[in-house]
Amino acid sequence: MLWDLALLFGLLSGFCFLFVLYSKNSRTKVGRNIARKRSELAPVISNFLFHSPEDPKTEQQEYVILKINIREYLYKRKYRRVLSQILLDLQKDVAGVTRERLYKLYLELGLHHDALAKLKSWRWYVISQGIQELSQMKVPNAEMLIRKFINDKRGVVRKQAELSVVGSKPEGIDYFLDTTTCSISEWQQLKLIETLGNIPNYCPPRFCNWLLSNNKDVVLFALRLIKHYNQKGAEAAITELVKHKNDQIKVAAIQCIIDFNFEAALDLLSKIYPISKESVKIAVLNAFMALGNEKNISFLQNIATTESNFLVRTKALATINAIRPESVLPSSGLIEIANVDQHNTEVPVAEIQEEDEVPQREPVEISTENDVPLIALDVVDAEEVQGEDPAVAIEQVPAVLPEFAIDLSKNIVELSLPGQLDEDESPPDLISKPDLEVAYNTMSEGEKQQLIEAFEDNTDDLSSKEHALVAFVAQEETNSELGYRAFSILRTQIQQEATAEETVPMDTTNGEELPLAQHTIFYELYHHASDLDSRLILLKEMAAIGDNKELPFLYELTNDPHAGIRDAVDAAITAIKNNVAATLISNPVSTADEHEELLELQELPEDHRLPLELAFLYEEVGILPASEKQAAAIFDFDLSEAFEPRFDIEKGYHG
Amino acid sequence: MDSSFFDIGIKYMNIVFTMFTAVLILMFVLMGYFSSRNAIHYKNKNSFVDLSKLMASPLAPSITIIAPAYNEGVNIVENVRSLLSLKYVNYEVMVVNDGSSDDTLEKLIEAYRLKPVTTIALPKSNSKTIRGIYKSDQKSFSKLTVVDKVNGGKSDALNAGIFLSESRYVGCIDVDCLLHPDALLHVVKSFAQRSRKKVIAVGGVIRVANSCKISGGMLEEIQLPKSWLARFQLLEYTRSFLLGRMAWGRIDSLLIISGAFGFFDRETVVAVGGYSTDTVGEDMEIIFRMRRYMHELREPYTIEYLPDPLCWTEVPEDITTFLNQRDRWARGNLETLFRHKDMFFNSKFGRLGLISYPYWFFYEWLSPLLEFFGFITVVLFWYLGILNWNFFLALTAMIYTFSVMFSFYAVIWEVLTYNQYRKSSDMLKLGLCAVIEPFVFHPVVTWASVRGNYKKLMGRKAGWGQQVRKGLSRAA
Repeated sequence: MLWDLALLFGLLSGFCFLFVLYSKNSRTKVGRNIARKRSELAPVISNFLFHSPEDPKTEQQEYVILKINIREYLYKRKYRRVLSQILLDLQKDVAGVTRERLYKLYLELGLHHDALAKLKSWRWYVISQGIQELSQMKVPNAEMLIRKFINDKRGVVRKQAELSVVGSKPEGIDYFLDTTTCSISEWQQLKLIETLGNIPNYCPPRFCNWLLSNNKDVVLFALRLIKHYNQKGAEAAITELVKHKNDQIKVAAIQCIIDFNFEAALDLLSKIYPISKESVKIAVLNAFMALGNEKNISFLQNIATTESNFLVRTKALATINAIRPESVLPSSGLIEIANVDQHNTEVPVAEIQEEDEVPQREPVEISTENDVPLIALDVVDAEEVQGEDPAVAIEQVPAVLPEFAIDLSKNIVELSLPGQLDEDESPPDLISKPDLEVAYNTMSEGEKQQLIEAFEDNTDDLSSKEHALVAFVAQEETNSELGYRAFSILRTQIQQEATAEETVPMDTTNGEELPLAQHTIFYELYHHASDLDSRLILLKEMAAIGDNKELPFLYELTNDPHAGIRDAVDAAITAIKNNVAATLISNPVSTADEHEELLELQELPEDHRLPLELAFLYEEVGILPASEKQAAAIFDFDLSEAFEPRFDIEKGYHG
Repeated sequence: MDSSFFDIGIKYMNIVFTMFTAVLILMFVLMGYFSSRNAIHYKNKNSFVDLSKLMASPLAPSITIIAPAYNEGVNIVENVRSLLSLKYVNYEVMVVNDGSSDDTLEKLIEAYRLKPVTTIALPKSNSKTIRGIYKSDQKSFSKLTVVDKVNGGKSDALNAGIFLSESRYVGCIDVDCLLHPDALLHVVKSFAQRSRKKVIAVGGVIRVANSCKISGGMLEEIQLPKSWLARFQLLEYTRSFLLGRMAWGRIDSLLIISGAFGFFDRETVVAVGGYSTDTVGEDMEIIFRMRRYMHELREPYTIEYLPDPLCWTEVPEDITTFLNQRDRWARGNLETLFRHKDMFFNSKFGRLGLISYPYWFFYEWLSPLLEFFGFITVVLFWYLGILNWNFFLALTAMIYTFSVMFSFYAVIWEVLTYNQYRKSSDMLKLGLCAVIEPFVFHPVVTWASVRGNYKKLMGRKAGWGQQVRKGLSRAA
């Protein structure tokens, strides 16, 4: 028995090995055959696509022959498959009339019959292929056949049918949302939204109509579509959804409320809060954080004192701080300021505060209006701050718990609304630029939108840190809408500055003239550029379009620590000087200053060759360069023999 | 010794071993069947996927790749560059310098112009002290975050990354792994494609990159390794990943995701407390805990497995490193199985308790030990003159031919699915590997496993052992 089995397995091993070699070779062979057929048929197809009745007679004859030949191909199924594949590949690369011709050709060749036949197969992937082919080649009336698969139990078939129906015409999404009884995965939602985006001139319906669907996934998808298409007119329906039995829907609805700033929903949210699970509670608190006001403080304080779940309780405290900044501060583990030996301190704490003009803060306690007890928070060992000035030390005590650390950051951002984020008013170590960026990244979408809105309203009052934060958002924000809005703020600000410069020069300096280096527009741009590449690009731009204004700034940069920058600066200075020289030469000197500038140009080092444009300009206006040495640097031949000496750069224009 | 008692003992042992072998063969046959079905299904399903749609989508979920680095100064800059060039819109690379004693951190700071940004005090239970967090001031490296922490081992470094990350998904990889540019697109698709079940983790195939041509952090040409030890491992990986894990994935009972390429739903991995720092088999242990957690929550969930060749790594080419690696795997296996022993034939955990756990217990942990004792028994019986040569040779021949057949079957699926090795001569070399492997490579693996178990059971101290790598960028 064992020997028999050994023999059997041995034979099977041999068979397997032969199969490996066979399948390896056959795959290569089949691949080669298909490639050959494709290379044969591809020119035929392109001839068909780009054929015109007005072509010359010889081409018309060729066209007829091709038409006959292609019919031969159509008899064999494997060729039809190759033809279909070529057309399917090609339709991704062509557009307009050519694509229309391609669809027509597909129908004329009768290739759609194969695709329709695939819909009758029992194999799910064959059906899916058929659906995909029919929808990609826009076969008329195919949609009616595909619709029946929209609730198919086989996942891939169903998903292909959904994409096909939705992409076929603008009303496709209505039909899909009305009829689907199946789940819609996140991946599928993404693809459906992508498909909708490909419909030309698409006008989305009011997706709030599907918030009443019995299918949980349809409701979730409708909420996502509402957000995607920014349909704000569904406040009542979205608000009502927070009462839904399904937590996923509740959370999605709350997120919509936050994104659309539906403040009126807060009352209802406070009512559903006690009967919600942790995830919903966190979402509710997020909503209060984004939309809440002073009236909600008592509700939040109640949560902070009664809630047993640590995460929720911490979130409630953070929300209180978001609405009323710094109303909850660390209360335990701090050094006792009252017990500090006043005799060892040269200046009393109170006096230090007055002298240093530390910004006024709310009292270090939760509001006592509602008799809510102070909530203890763990903080870092006070030993770290004992040696420092107590008044400052209390401000800098970091939180141990990361949640709390993040909340503090959020508070910082809340404080950072326009007008409040001035460098002078905030301790620099508390609100540094990286902190702001970190704090910004911890914000929810709703909070980010609010912040950007606030910036938009105060474009001309942005402090340097706010400006830096907006620049950060414009560069780093993954949400393209927010990024664009931040970019618009920057653009508006630059435009305003430019206008201000044109109308009231030097206004911002209280009558004092700006340093020469700041006269160039590149000064600001250069200092805003965050990386080396951008700076090098700016220097190239300066070289290309700059004039005398740029030179002082460039001279400042000649001592830059980076060798690459220094080289680029040298090149830019040379280029600008040459440009200026060319301008002066083409426009006769009119003033003494300009004459001096022109004289300065003599000081160019001899090994700096003149650019070719300048050389050609000399030639065009019939000017000979100042010396033979310079001429030799431009041309290989001796110019002194070719030109009459009519111009001497030292003496001016003689011609 | 009473001869009748001895005979009964021998017969009893025969029955046990025959049963054991029969079940093993049956399991392997089923594995072949399920993996084939899964491979065909995956291939057909994948033909409709257009990953490019996710490339620039505003809906693309965030993902953080966490790469712990310990004394990786030689190749760290090149490896990170490779990670930064993946095709995905919303991802972050977090390199965790686990207290390297070489210039790993300095090289990163210099190459990527890193600046310290902030320090965050993590709860002590999650990881060792974080010394600093660095970000680049250059926009082109904005996806990179480097965390510098006190040395605490791979699990500790991964935990630091997991708890610092704010992305929806986290990927735990080895920093010297080479990821396919589309790797993240495949991973995110796997996370997002289910609607009824929550995907808590996604794992993938680990491919052998020894001798492959690599340029600029990208795989240029796939070649069969030149070293025979690496070739044996390649065959073993092909069997394990293309047949074994595909089959377990098919019946949703995957119990291990390779530490070199594992992606997790961050919420779930944080809920279970991250990686366990007191085991060397942390990649297997975390899956056990995540599954246990989801079972207790009674929420529908799954673990996805990607057979696409997305992650390439260098396997040991010297015997000492190889033995250390397998020794560690054996200890990790034992530690994890012992820690979750209550799952053994426990119907509360469904297929996990009734199929996966027992399989791992009998055929991954116990099997090498039985083989070893079987070998000693054969030598002893031969010495005593009571060895039944006919039975011994027949059994050996059957098991040998079966293992060769199973290896060839794995190679068939490699050719039919991804066909990575283009030359026919490569197939001949792999065939030769399959034929000689049971005599050359398998005894070494068994010995390493016995050694690992011995160390663990006898309480010998053993950590990760020395890891010697040539470095992928020099592999060619």
